[in-house]
Amino acid sequence: MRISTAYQYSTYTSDIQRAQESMVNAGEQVSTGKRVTKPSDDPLGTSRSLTLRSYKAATEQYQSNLNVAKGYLGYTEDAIGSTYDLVKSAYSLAVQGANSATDQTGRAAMAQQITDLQSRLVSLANTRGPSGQYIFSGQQANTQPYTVSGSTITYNGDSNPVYVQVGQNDVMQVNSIPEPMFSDIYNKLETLKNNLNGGNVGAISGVSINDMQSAMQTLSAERGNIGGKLQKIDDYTSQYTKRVDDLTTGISDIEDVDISQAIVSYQQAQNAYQAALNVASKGFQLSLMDFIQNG
Amino acid sequence: MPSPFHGIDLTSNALRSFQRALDVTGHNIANVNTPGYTRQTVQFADTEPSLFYQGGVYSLGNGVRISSIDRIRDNFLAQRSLGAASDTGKFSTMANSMSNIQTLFAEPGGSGISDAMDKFFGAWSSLSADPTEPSAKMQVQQAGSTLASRVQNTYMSLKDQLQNTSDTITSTLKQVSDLSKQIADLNGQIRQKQAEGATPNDLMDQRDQALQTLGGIVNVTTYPQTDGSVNVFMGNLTLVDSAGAVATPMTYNTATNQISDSTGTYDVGSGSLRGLFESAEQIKTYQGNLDTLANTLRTTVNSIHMTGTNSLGNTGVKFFNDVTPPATQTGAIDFALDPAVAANPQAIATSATGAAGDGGLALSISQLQDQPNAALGNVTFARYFANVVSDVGSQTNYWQNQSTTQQAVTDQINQQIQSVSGVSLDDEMSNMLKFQRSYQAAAKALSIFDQVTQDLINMVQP
Repeated sequence: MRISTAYQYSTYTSDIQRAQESMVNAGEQVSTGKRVTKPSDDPLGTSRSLTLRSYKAATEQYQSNLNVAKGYLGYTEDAIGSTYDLVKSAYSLAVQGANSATDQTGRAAMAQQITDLQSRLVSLANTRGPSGQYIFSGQQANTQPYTVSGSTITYNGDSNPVYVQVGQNDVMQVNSIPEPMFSDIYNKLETLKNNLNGGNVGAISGVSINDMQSAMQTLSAERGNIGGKLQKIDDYTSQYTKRVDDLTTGISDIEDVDISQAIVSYQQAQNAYQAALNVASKGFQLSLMDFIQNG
Repeated sequence: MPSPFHGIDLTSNALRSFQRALDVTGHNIANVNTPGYTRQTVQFADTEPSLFYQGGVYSLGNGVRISSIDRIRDNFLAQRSLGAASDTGKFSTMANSMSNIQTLFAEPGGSGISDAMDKFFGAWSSLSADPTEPSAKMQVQQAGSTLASRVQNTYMSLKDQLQNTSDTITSTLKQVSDLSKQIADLNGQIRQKQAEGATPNDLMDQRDQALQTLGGIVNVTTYPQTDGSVNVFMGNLTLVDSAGAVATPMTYNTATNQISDSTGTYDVGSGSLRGLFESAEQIKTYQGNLDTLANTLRTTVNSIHMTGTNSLGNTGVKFFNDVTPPATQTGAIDFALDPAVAANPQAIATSATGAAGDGGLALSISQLQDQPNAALGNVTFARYFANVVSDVGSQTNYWQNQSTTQQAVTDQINQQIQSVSGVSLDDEMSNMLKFQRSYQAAAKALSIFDQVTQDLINMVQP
């Protein structure tokens, strides 16, 4: 075929440009490590990658929520545990008070200790959580749940659940429904105190000891309940950690290049570019004019 | 009886012819880089012999003449090239436009709408988990504002792009009009030269070049006339006829791919103008997608948020700005937070009751993330937007491939045209040598005839 000069030159130029473009593209993949930097690189892959990114963001959100739930439940568990210890002390006092060997002076001193326990109980029931919220106040998180006037304890919170989203369709109640638990314990301690002050040994052994035992049972059941939830949180956490890993791998499989393959492609593109430059530089030098002796 | 100067006449004629041939070669060399230039060749012919009597009747050659100076051109290839130019115009326009649109979406990555949407619903989930945490509402406010502004900014960029496209359409129509006038003008000059008996090769090149440019803009058919002019049509619209250029219709409709004036409506079948029309429609589609996204976010988020009571004790507060029904929603163009929420994060409600520790409403809003929505064609927000991005990607990919393929076709046709019509310096150099040698030989012959004549004159001594 007849080759015109302009065509020869434009072929060299476009061959060089094409080779250069391939080399730059291959180089970009090597330097960014990305196979997909814009949707047209892989339209279907982009769509899948966006979906995986959404799942990952949601899962990471659930992980963060699990930490919130864990904090809330941790504070609750501590408060319930301390309350249990407190009731246990009251129980020992009741057992001593019921003992006929104990004299009335001793019982009065015990009654004083019960008063102290009561005020500690109120302060435990008014425990604040990690964000400063009252954790035994139901949804009235900014309202101090328990106030005492004379020997009467009043609950100012509500009995509504506080939920944390821990999965797409899974919420976990993190607050312990406190009422009538704390008021009940407070009132039982009040009865014990009165019995101690009044020297009602029969009532102490007949009523108050049972009272303390049943309170301890209630508290320990609640502790078990919280422990179960904390266990569930640990399960979820490890499950989500694995899922985030899987999703990250999935996104990377779509968006990232296989680096060794990318480097090989880059090398190939570079060779092609060099070849195009070589051919052009040789071709540019050739002309019939160099061989004509003009005379 | 031939004139004694017959040889001198004959060779000087040959000298002139070879001189012209050298001139044409020089013209070819000079235009080696001129786009659209068609190489020219001199066609030689021997002249009518003259008869003479010298003891018999003989015919004596009168030397050489130039019969024509031709353009070396293949009309079939020229027609194919026009058609290819239209498709290239359309495909490359679409590819460029889609590539620009794709950049506006900034996906996949951390600066696009997808990411803002994930963070938005995540912030509501955080707020629901810990409604008393002071920074949680601020996070929701920021995430909402980021989402709204990303949707709005993307929309505005598309709007700019559409404006650009419209401006380009107007200037392109102007260009069609200018080219039609130019072709009509060249038609006139060519017709006149041809009537004078000349072959205006270079004017024809100019006209072919103008037609080629026009062919890149719209689908063009040409009908050569016997007087040397061409009539030019775009479908059933006459652009140039024997009377000259017809005024180009300047009104257009991108939805129907038509241009129109008072006398009619005409389909634009291909070329960059068609590409611009289709790009405009494509941009409008994506604007519509963003409108749907913005309006659905408003409707769904607000309808939950307005049932809540915020910590300021207010109820019925919108989260995103929105009109009061039944007014038509405004779409992405002014998508933003409700002014009350934008001014104070405490205006954000987390619950129906207003209880500080109740995150029920925030939970419901965060769960919108996973709910298919009828307004979005029964898919989730994330899925809907991923489909839009995927469409942008496949369209870009498709038009880029089309453009590359078409470019290869065009290249091939141009290669064939160049092969026939392009100037080769090597060719021209060998022609130049040939004509130079011929000229030298003719000059030598002339000097011998001169010598002979001189001898004859010197013979006669006064």
